[in-house]
Amino acid sequence: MRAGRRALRTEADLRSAYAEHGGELYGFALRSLEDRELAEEVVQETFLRAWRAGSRFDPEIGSLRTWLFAIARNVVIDQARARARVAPVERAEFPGEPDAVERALVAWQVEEALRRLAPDHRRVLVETYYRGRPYAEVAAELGIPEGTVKSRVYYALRSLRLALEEMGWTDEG
Amino acid sequence: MRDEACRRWRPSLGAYVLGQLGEDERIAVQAHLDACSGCRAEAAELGTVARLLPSADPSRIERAPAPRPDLADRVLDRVGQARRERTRGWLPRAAATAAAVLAFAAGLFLGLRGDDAGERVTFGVAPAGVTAEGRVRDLAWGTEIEIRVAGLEAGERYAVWLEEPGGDRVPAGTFRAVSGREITVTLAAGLPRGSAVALGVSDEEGATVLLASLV
Repeated sequence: MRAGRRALRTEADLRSAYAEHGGELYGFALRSLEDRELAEEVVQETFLRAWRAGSRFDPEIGSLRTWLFAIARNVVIDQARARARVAPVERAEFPGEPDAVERALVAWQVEEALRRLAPDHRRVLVETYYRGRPYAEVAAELGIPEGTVKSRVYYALRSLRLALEEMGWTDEG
Repeated sequence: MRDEACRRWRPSLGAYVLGQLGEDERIAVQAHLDACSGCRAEAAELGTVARLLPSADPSRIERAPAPRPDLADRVLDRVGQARRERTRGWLPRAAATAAAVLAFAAGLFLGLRGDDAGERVTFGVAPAGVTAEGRVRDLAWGTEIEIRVAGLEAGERYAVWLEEPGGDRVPAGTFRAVSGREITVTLAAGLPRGSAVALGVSDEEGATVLLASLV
């Protein structure tokens, strides 16, 4: 029944788990719900549920981070549904639907991975991809050869993949 | 030389998967990929990442949103509150204290009788329609627990545990409720009687169904 040590048993466990993952969980919740109060509520509720279910956490199956995100995803869905009951929101998509939460999670992960890139790498991706600017223009603005812009784009994508993998993302997911 | 070709074309693979290459260079890269499985695999990996890019909103990546600094304390407060409630059961604070006092008095009374069968415990928390009584016995290897119960949901599996002062639970085992009659289950937990503050029974969802104070 109780396999090994319970997760998040002590206050110190909770503190370190929060220090490690609290900010990320908040970022994901905010990305899904677009509401700072609700996002903070999600973080509190996530840690509470995690503490309650601490004996079910199995480090053999996955990381604490993955487990917390799985809980947070459910809390986000609950929060969005509760909010929709109180005040129906006019939105293109209903954020309480699992698919919408899933999309928000992917969006947040990609944005977080982009934030973790070296500034030079992030810059070329933003300029050439998101702003759709020509390589020559970006190269001139940055005072570097076009070939360097191109290789920075390459290394930016490679780093992005690494950052996503560090966050537990997989090709299958 | 393949290596030389790789050195030449690899740095273009990012622009290639993003569709940013001019026609001539795209064709040249494509020709190299047709010949080189290493670069083909690399392009496939980058392509997966490139397909994720549209989901991000570039206006959000400049800085990470942060919660208010006191959120850490509020997280700890909430868990601390739940920890205290768990120790007390579902009852409001005052009622829980009263129940604890009663249970203590009952335990003291029975304890004075020096019964070898252990001390009787009363479940201060029990759902309507459920009757239960328990007995705990301090032994060298831990605590023996006997529970007589009727009225629990038949077929459902229940877990029995002892709670330590910090809120941790030491499992004593599980039993399955039977319909229409009282059952007696005997279990054990590897915790000295003196280190247990409560005896509890929870359902498969983890919700506490029966709770007896042991202090």
